[in-house]
Amino acid sequence: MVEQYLRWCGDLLRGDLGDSLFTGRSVTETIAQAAPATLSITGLAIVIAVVVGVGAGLVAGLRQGSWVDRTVSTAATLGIAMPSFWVAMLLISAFALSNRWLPATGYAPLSEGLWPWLSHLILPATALGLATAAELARHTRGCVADVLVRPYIRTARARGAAGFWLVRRHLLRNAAIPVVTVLGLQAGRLLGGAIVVEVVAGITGLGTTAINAVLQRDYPMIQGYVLFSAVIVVLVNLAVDLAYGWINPKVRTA
Amino acid sequence: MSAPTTTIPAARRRPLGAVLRRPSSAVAFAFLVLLVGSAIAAPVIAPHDPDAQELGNRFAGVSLTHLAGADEFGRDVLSRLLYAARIAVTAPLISVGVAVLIGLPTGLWAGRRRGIVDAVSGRLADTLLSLPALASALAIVAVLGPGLTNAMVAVGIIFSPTVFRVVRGATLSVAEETFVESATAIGCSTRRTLWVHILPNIAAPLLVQVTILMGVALLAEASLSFIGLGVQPPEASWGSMLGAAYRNQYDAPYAVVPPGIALVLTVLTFNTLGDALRDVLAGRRAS
Amino acid sequence: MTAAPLATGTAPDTAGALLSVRGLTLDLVGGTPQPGLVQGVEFTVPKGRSVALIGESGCGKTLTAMAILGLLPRAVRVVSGEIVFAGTDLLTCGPRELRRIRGGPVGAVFQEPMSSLNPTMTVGDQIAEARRIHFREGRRTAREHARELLDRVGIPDARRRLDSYPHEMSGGMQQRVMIAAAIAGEPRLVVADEPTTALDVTIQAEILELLRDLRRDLGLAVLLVTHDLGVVADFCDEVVVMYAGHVVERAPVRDAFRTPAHPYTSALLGSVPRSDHARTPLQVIGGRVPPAGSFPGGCRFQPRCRHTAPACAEPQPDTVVGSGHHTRCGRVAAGGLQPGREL
Repeated sequence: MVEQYLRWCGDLLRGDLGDSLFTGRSVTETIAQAAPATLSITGLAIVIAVVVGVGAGLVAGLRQGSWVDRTVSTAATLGIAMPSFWVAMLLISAFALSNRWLPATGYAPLSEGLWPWLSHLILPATALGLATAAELARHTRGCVADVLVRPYIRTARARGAAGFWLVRRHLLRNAAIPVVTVLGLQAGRLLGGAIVVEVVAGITGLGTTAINAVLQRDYPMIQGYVLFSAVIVVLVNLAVDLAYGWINPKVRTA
Repeated sequence: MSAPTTTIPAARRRPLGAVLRRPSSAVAFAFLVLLVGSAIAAPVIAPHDPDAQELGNRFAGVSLTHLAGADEFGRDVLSRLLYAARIAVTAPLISVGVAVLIGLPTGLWAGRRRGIVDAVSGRLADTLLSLPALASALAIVAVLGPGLTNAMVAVGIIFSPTVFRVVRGATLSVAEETFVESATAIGCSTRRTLWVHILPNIAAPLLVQVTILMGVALLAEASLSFIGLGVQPPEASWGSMLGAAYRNQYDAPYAVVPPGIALVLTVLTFNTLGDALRDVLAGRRAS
Repeated sequence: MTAAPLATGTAPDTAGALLSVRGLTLDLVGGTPQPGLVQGVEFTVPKGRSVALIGESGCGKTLTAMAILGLLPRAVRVVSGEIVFAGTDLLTCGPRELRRIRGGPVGAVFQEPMSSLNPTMTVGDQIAEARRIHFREGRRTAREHARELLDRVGIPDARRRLDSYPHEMSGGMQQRVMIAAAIAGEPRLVVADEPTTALDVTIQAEILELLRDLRRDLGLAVLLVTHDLGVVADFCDEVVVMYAGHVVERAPVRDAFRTPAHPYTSALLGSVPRSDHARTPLQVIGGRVPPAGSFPGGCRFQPRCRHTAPACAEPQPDTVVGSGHHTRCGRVAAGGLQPGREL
């Protein structure tokens, strides 16, 4: 066992994760083939989540107690409770089956053009990003509310800063500090959610590869998948740490 | 040791009462009672045997005999939903139970011992937490084999670092308090200190975490059953019903609705109760 | 209870006044409501002069200052009154005009510079901000002005310091930055809310010295909110004493210190150690300012006053007792009590 493991580690350093027990193909190669689709969905989901979640949370935080605020808070509570694969099924049913506006299944690499790529991904990525958007909206609202009552916001107002200027130069950066941390924690959740959303959207990616591997007890494949996911999560958190330092000067000098 | 008697806020005396005074959590609690009730009473209230196939009735629409229609084998959807409620209640309990079983003793141990034990176990927990949860669950299921219990045990193992952290944090903060110090000073045994002084005080944060994890576990169960790694046919969970609905979406496009709504409402219930508990208990600590 | 002063001829002399506050009444809504949280406040700040707004905490002095800046908390509502700055009523002028005035002709310095400066913005950007907003200066020009301002407030190595963040500076330096930012808009009036409270004693003196220099060089008028009588004696021309939302006395600093015409002012003075009266025992004002929501009718100081009489339960008119010297004590006004430190 130990010897086996050490050999696996040795091969790993050379970029060799072994061969799939089932297809006989190299694990590294299989992952390299499946990864772009999964990373595309996850990446797009993050973009959607940040735009929708941070935007909604910002408006809600700036208009506390308004109907916008109440709507956002209700929507966020619902969004967190909805399984992403169910949302994907509903979206696909509404936009790809009842109305044939978008393709229901499949994936087109970016090399085939932006629209083919985007049109296949937009529904699953929206579904996948929804829960993260909800989480971000809650946090952003809380952070904005928290920052708005800080003395330095009052000082900025006393300088004549108001409206968009005040939001952009004084509020956004300070409110972003905790929000970025939450985003980092969401990376793992998104990769996990992608597994099931891929199935719903009929996309052959890491998730479907991993499910097959589990059903076939294809251990080298599963090892490779978990390792790759972990590396992605670590990379995302590294990016988050860098962004954190860029946003927060106190961290930068420390 | 008589502290000045001030008015004790209601939340301190009866946290549950304070939670239930909120309209949203009262509704959530009522739903939870309803859910557990129908899970227990499923054999009595279900109009049909959930596994009885009537192939002539495939994808039958809503009717008086089949209040929620029938599925691809002509089984009564309402009966299956009711029986699936049993899994919605028990499956998360398995995961949370496993998580507490692992996280509670290790968290207490790390919090009491501190030092190297704490440092090593803390690092380990951080590492486990940084792995994508569902991916690690898949790996564990691959070892244990598919099936509801195995899947939920896997999810429980994934949750255990979260419980560990909560317990460790609470233990550390309680250990700082004077009453624990004085208990140790007057010669209380470690075990007695733990049971009498520490456990009651970490119960509150643990309860909040467990309630929230129930919702997460249910979502995980649904995901794993959806892709066929959780509950095995013919048994039904809301997740596996969604899986069936997905495979037959051209024949019965609306079959995705009932199990999905049941799922969302239940997760919403756990989240609402968890949030309310946290707010009430946080307010209690602040006062 | 009437908000307007009863006696005639008490309207502030507005000729030559840069800022005049008239009949300002603020209500606290929500929570424990308190109508007349600040009631009928009247005073003026003449051009280039320095006026102190003093009183214990909770007496409404900071709220009055915030009303001038249009920065009242949500729970506080303006009920009546005028705040006229250079001919414009700040309470009715609308947000656009208010924005033009804030940071421009009216600058502000707050207490606790650490939390009042934006932690994620360089001090250079924060000082330059008023120039960019009010003079529409470009990034580079504004930065050059910010450097000059840092020089002006006595921060060494100004060019390098422009790119520092507030947490990289000491409290005294931070307060200098705040002052630089406040004068960046070339104000005629600076509202300073407890600018030295959070600082060490030696630094306090430096900051006051800086403010004094700036006043002299720039012809600034200053409204100084403080509870430190030493600062008042040192720095101000006139003093406005507030208690529980009322202005109880206003006078030139000399008169207020020599012949206070309100028992509260006298009590305040008695609670400060004086080097020239080493043998006099320090006095303590018994009790505390009543919390908002439970202000008594009539004279609000009467529960703590040594000279309370039945008439004190009636509304107390604002009465002139000397040149520019007003009191809200009916007993002093009626001649029943003599102004002075023995009040």
